[in-house]
Amino acid sequence: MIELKQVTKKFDDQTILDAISTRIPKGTAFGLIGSNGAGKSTILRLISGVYQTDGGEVLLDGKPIYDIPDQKRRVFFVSDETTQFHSFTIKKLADYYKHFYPRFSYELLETMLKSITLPQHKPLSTFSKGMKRQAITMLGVAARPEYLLLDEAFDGLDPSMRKLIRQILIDRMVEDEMTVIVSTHNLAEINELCDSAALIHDSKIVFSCALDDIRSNLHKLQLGWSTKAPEYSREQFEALGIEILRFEKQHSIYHLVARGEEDQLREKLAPMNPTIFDLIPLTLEEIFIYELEVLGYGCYKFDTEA
Amino acid sequence: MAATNSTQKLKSPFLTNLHLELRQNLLFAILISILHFTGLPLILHAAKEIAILDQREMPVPEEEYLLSQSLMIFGALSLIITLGLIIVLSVKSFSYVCSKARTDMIYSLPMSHAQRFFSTYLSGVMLWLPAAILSAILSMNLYQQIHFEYDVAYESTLFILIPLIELWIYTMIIFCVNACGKLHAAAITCGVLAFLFPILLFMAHYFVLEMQSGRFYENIYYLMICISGPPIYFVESLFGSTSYIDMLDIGSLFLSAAFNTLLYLGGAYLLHRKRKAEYAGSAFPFRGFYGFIQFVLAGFVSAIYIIVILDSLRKLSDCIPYFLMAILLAMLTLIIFDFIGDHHLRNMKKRISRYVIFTSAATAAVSAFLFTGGFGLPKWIPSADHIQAVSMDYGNIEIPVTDPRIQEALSEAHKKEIALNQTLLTQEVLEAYVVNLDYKPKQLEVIYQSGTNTAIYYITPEDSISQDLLNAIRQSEAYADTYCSTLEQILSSNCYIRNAFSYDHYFPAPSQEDIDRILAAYRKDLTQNHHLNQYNWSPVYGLSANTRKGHLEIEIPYSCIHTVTALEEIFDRSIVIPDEIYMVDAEYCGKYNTVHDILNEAEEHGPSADWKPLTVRQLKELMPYLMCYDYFDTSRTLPFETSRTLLFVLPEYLRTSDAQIFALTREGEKLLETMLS
Repeated sequence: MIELKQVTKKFDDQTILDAISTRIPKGTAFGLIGSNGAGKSTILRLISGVYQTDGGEVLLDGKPIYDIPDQKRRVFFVSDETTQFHSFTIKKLADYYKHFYPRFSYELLETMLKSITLPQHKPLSTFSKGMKRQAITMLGVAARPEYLLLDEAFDGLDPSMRKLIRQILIDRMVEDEMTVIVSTHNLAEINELCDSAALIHDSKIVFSCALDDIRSNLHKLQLGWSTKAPEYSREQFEALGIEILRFEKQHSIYHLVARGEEDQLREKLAPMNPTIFDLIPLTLEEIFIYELEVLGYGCYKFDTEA
Repeated sequence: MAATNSTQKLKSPFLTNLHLELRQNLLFAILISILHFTGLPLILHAAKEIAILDQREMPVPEEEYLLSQSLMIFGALSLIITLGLIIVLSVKSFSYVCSKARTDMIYSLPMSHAQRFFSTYLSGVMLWLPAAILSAILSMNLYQQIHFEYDVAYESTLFILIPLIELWIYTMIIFCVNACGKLHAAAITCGVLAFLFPILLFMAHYFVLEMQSGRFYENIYYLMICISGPPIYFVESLFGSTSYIDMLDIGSLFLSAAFNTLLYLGGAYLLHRKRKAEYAGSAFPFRGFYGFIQFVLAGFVSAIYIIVILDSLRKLSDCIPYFLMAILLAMLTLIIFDFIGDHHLRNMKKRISRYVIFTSAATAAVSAFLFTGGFGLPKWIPSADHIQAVSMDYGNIEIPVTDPRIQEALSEAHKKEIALNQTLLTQEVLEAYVVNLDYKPKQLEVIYQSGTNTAIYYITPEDSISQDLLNAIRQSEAYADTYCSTLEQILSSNCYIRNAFSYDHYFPAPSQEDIDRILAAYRKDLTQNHHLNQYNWSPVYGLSANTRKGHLEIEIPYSCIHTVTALEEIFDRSIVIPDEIYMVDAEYCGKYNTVHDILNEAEEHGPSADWKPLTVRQLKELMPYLMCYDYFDTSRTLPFETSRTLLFVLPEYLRTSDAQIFALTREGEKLLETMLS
């Protein structure tokens, strides 16, 4: 299990991560989502031992990682940059990594490469961005680490290739109990691959839990009344103990994005006696947008008076 | 699954990285190794070939030189390329710290900082150092072959410094790369550390200590190498008044350069360890180091400016505008430096306050050092009670004074006279020293060591120290021991026989028994003849042993009669000792006005009737009655004050420099008359 305890990271005077804590259970697929510059890649670099914390601890099964080769050997980090590999061929990179990762499997690499048909003897500088990503991800998988960290790994990949890589990752998770931690803006990937995720914004973790919990805890509600619609304000709903992320009224229908389980919401709204009570599940993307909207991210308001 | 069967055997990360780095740079290694052997050894081989051609009696056509000259050019190019490749290798090994992407890749590998740093460093060293050492050994051998007629074993050990200098360059660049986050910032830092820093130290040494005291401070020189590294050799030889490297102890040079290399290595490791991955891309991530570089730059510019205008600064009130100018110049340099390093100048307010602090501090430090004359170091007078050791330097031979009576006498002199006369080293002497590089003040240099400090006094014997004390020093056993040890060194060196590159015949080296015998005779001469000690630097003739003629070269004054006898017997008269020695009785040289006239006449027309030939045997008989009159002063008017004055000149060297004047005692006069009759 990976554990981040009150981790703080600063670049010069700027705080990138501010005393964040989370746990990533072994054998799961964990997604890191967040706004640009939120600190997702920083978390991956902290877990892989590239960065040192300025406060708090990053623990791998209870032991620190930074500057400890035996711990680092259990983690493979696929960075979002690929320029560093330009002069290498896949074969050379495989030769290179096999010296550091004792469980590295050529057979596995070859099996994977057959399915994606990447040239093994050409330098990576001749590859497209997507091909480079595929190659490095395949090498990371072939290293068979306990923890595979993928930073923007699905960027630049076509849909078929995404699907293929996702399948490969799922296979390894099943066969090797590999833990995959993915940082991406592509929430569909998180949705399809991950068991749990953390949303990071403004140096803090907004939430970190299982995706099912995230989905079941945030709903879009459409409320209507058969008679003339009563005039309810946002505060009146909140007075019922409902945490509202978005409030909107169109004609006689109220559109709410509210936090809470379905049963709880029904129970809390019962006194208002709505004749229409539609509970629409949210996609991860919608959850991302609404959660960050609450924090003031991505809002664009016109000053109508001006 | 098949994948699970291919688990590798785990090697230590250090060895893994070492192996990978070596493998990646194998071509580099081969190229550098070849170039090491086509560099200096080729130059020396070509020099040897040219030396052989030079020695031919027949005129050699120019074409025959052409190949050797071409080889020399090729060798020089190889040397330059070798150095370039070492620089490239050192940058390449650690350049990943300047790239965010590569830092991610390398830092995420299962290695600790220490394993990563030392394996990468060592791999680079292993790629070229063995070839460099072998090349240096080969060069030493070739150098000895070229200078076969001299004992150059000691000098040739200087070649060992070359691999050390290469190692220093390699380590220093690695230090700079690790201290910076951009390659061009690292390049500027290298320039500052490799050139400006040594020049700044050199200026401190040369313009303050050496100019004020007229002395080269060996210990400070070694300290400067310890601090700044070997480039100070080149700075000294380029800008200094003389090349000191010949005068210095090669072992100490080696140790101080090795110390500086270790200092850089330790510093590079500490920086690497403290270095955060996010520093990649930031020109100067270590603020302390950045401050040091700024200080050196500002100090350098201030020092240059202040030294240039130093002569016009006499009063402190005149200095203020110049100081302000120095500060402004230094500040401008720092702005340019920042702009080159960072490509932009953010936080100008903060930067300007830094510039003001650094430039003012640097200018103040440089000015304080220059105007106080190195904080009074050259004028420091140790307490006589705390003197730990005393040595004398007379004619470039350092003589440790162990005789407690002499030490006591010197301490007394120090208390009473020397301390007062320390300023005897006048401006005229200094100027003469600077203008004429060959000039050495003919003074006795007394060095006092008190703890870690050393004070040096130049004493003009007649003026500042009593004749009795001087005689006591000259007649001391310590003095004789020093000469004996010098002779022993010459005799034991065997340089005149062990040489394959030779056209001449050589005599066998003396056995240890023979050496002991010569030394015993020499000691006897030294202790019996006080005049010899005094005038040792003006022998009647040396035991001419030019190796080109196949003879042993040892300079021993003719008056060392016991030594000469021993040498003659041991070498079976193989040593050139003339059968006849000409003598002129100065008392009866009425037609000449000065000694110079006599010698001029002899040099131009050969010995006249006034010159009387003496056999060696006769001279030996006369020896006990001869008193060395003085070192040759050709302007002396004849006749001299002494009753009988004789002038001896070798037949084959009828030159003024090979004559010497002796006074003859009354007994000697009688003997001489008998001989001549």
